[in-house]
Amino acid sequence: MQSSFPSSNSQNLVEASSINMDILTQLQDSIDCISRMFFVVVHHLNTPDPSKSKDAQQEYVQDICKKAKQIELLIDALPGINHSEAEQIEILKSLDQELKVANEEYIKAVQDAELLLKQIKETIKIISKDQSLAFSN
Amino acid sequence: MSSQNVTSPFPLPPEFYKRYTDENLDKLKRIKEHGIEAFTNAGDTLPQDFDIFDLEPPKPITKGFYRMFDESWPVVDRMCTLEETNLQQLYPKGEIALELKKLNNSVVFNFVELLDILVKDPDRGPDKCEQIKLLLINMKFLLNEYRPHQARETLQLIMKEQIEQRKLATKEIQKRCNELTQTLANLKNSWKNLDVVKMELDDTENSESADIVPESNLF
Repeated sequence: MQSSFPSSNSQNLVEASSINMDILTQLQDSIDCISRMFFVVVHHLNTPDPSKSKDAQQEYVQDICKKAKQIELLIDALPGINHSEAEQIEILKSLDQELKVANEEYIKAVQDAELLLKQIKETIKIISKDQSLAFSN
Repeated sequence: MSSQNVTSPFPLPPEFYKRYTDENLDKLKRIKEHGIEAFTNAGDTLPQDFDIFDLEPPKPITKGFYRMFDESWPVVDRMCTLEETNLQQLYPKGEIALELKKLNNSVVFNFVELLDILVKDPDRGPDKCEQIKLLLINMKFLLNEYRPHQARETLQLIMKEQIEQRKLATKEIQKRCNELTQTLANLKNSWKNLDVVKMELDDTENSESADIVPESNLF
């Protein structure tokens, strides 16, 4: 099972909000995977198989160890692992404020643009009126 | 007819629909407007086999459990704790990351023990399996509890991106407005210059029509 390791602690939004790529789901899948590996190993040991090669055993062991390590790394990459719930709420409040300010500035920019548009339209009207007057004389 | 309701795959609708006659609805409306006493004083009769207020939709329930699709859901939805599902909670209430890692190590260690037990004393094998199962369930449960935390984090990311987009749009608009204001100012200047040239032209041509549109008044 392939899973992507996060490159940094701040994951991008696409990964975090996807249905199967967010860290928690990856963790849940990894836990399922390692339990499946346990089962496979026990099953393999139970079936009489003359060619129980050392290589296959090594491979099983390596897989289980890799998976366990992967789980550990995923745990470290859990989003917001270093914020408490209260801190998170504080951050959200300040982000909300920031968003309000950005919205207000945006609205103001739009209003300025509309004013400018009116000016431009007026100018065009004047120019065209003047042009038509000039040509009609 | 009631047996048809119970056994047919396409049951008839419940009989309540028969209550919603125009007459009954009208009575309900009048009762709501003027009160029950005025209603009975005016000589009207309430329907006998059901309460007139049953015609109104029932109020939503506020506590307890409700059933939907053959499952029972709590009205105030929350996750059951492990104790409620009769499973032992193995981890103390500490930091989630630490506890998860501990559980992870325990799982692997227990698996090694399981292999050992299967070789030496296979009768105790199922017990060990149960132990591992409990560990795994605890891990899954911890992760489920973490979901609200993750949701808040995702909300942070979404809001940050929204703020970025808004700021970018504002900057773009302001840039364009500045460019256009500049163009407009240039136009004004060149118009004024043209004005001067035009007036000079008219003077030298000695034109009788004082048809000079006073453009200087327009800006």
